[in-house]
Amino acid sequence: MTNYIIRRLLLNLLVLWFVASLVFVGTHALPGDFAAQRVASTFTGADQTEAIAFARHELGLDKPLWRQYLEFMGELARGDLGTSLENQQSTWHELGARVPATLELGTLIVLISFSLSLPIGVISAVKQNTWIDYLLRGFSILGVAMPVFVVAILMSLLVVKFSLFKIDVIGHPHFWTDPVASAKLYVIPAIAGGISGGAGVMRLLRSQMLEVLRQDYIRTARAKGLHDRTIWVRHALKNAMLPVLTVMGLTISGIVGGQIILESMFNIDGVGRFLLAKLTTRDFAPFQGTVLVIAFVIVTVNLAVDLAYAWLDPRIRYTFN
Amino acid sequence: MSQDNYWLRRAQAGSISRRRFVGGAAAAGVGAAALGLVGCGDDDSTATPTNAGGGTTPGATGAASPTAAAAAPIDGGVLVRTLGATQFDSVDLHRAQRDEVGWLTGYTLNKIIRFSDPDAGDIAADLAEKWETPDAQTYTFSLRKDVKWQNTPITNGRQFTADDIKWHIERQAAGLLLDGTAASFRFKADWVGVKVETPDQFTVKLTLPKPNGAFLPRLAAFFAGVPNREATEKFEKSHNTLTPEAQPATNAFMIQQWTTGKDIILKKNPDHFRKGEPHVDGIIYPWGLFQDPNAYRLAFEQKQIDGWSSPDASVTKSVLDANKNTMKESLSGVSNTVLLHLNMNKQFKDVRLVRAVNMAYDRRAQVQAMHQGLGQVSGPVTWLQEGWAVKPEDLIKQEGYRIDRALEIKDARALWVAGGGPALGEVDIKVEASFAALWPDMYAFVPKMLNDALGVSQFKSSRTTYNEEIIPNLFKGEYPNWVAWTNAVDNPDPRVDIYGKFNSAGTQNWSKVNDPTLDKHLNDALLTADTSKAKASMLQAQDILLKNGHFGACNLYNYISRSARWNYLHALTKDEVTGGKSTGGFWNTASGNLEAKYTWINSKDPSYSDTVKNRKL
Repeated sequence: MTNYIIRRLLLNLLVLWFVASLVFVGTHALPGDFAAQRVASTFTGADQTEAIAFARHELGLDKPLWRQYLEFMGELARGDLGTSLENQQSTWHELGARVPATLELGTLIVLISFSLSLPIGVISAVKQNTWIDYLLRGFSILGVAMPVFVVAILMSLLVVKFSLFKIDVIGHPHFWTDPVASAKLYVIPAIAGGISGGAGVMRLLRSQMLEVLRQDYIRTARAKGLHDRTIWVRHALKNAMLPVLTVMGLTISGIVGGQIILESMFNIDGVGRFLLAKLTTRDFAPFQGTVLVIAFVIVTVNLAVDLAYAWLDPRIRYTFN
Repeated sequence: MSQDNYWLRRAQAGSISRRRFVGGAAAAGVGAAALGLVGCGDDDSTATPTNAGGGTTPGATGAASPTAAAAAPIDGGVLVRTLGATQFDSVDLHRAQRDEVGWLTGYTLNKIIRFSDPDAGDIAADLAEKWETPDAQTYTFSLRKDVKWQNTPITNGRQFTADDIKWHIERQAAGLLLDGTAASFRFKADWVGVKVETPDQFTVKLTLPKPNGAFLPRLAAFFAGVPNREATEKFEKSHNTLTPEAQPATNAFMIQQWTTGKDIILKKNPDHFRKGEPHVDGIIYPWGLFQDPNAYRLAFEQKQIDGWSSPDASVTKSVLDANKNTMKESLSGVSNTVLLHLNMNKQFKDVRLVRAVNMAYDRRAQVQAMHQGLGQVSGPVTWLQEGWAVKPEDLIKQEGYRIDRALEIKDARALWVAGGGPALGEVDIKVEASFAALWPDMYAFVPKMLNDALGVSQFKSSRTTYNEEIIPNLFKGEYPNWVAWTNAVDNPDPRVDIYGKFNSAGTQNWSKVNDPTLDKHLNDALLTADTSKAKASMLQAQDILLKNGHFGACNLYNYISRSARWNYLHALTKDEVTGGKSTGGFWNTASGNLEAKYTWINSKDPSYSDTVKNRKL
């Protein structure tokens, strides 16, 4: 197992290098650079070639691409994710300011998502073809079908129309600075994201549960006289969770990358919105650095999920051939 | 961080135990989940366009609230405004390329003179209390003696003197940094050759290299604020980094915070020379917040911001209709003129072809289709520059602007054939990407309109961008035919702009126009210091342009943005300045310096609330 983990970590490093190179090439292949975007964003009719050239030189964008790539890799090797051309802040600093908001929203989304999807998936399976099953399946289908922004807009319109509470889209309240304002800000995006993220898990868990509940060992457990709840939770759910775990892992990974739509809709200063803004302005260093951090989280969570398989199913043993 | 932490604050105050701290945190999470289950089951500067012949205009609405209009200004309060997709490329006004920098300095810096009515171009004193212009080449300004730089480190409330203006002009003309290296100074050309003399600390005499009747409006226009020398030099090397200290104020507001991605906070300058201004304690501009319409609307409807505009004007209208007693409508002209540019160096060498397309292009139909009728056609000088534009009743008699569409089409078809249009083959009228991003239907609308009007099938539309295809090829004459919006109209006086585009010696004469009569009118307009003579010459020049399809650089229209604002906000409006004699138009980008005088918060208005009251800088 230790050997497997070490090899997976080395493979992850290779994946991260590949991601970094791909993002570097991809971003630099986009038309326009930061200097042109900044200087010539409006059509003044004047020849701005000289101004753009000055800006490029000042910002170091006139260096050959290969040199910029080597400098980028050199910085990465030293743990430096680069510096923003827009405000001269380090990417770590910028990310540090935004990760809390993303984690707050992400944690709530995960909590809501899993606290909805797990019970609904199980109940729907054990009450198959009853009105409860139809109701819960209908809800999950609605959750899959309704885009997250529609749910969020409808809820926020209701809040405004009936003056239910103030959604502070300007103050950027955090849970640790103003928990009440923070809860009011995050509740709608968390519910919308939770429903959206949980709906797929509900359906997957239901189908897995139905399959497991038909297995011989479940019948044996029943024959032994075990209580239904024990059978569902201890025997069926644990085995049904393997593929569900993969989806849940991806959900958690996705949250670290930020919820671009929800963050934008509620003006939450998180990683997703930051990423979009940096790409729009062609401020590549923080964009590249952020993508790399997200990639790191994803490969790490994937590794953790793989290791969790072995915990859930002791028959699974990892080797690296 | 501990100062900001609610939980630590409560713990330190002894009002919360550790157990309760943990329990409270957990409960908040569960509470959110439980709510989830329940859930399952200037910116807004404004004007009031009125009906004017020749244009598609909205109904005249947006009269000032009777409550606000009748009341005397009340001091205090904080405005919260919108700041869209924004970049500031430099704290050095001289070197900044981005319009945002010029906009911000409208609040913080004074100009030698300023516009008292930015649409009509009326000029008033600012740093100068009086001036003399014996001819269009010599300008002598007597400066106010009560102007002081803000009283903070670096400037320490220093007296503003003639030396500040001398440095301001000579630095731009030289285009050099302190270490002698050359840098890009956006308006260098305006100052090269200007001789600056300062006979005393409060007198500045400027002698131009040649007569320029448009020099005074230039001094009052966008980017004409006079920045501080000490701060500019101190931050010269780090001019890309936004630092409030890098731009000390003389004007009504000082920059308290200037943080990329967060906000700009402007604070009342207690040492501003116009006593009693500004009325508000400050203005907050949350940065880039409202790129999403939902967040924007939420903020407005909950009074976290004072004004709002939906990308869809009908949505704004519906919100206004639902809140008739507490909100009012603002209609403001958008200063980015929509332009059709045909390349006369390539496909459109024959001016008859240009005229044909200019007539075939249905400006009013486009205003209807893309802007829900909120817009007005513009001649060579836009309707926003009302002091110089062809009057609407005259404009509608000109080709391309006539109400009789059948007549336009008949004449356009005849010219298209006479000029050899059918032999051109495929004609691509490209749509610039940033424009198409907002109005994607343009790709289908433009070719259909032109094909239908000219009875052909040779027009098509594809994508282009300013940065990639248009600007790099302008000066080579290799640019595509394109339709898009242009830079913002930033000066009520159009002389320099029109001269640059259509005079044979103009620096932006991409169509290579060479018409001696037109040259004469443009020269006459520019060389005289007599505004009425200049306006007459400009009308004659516009007549030639209108009869020649603008030589390919066809202004189409300026559209109008509909926004809503709460009644408690007494905003800068054209009615306010003109004493209710609004004749249509807009506040151009030079109007920011009037904000301090006309904007205040009416705390007695029924729409005023605790949310507005509790705002803090």
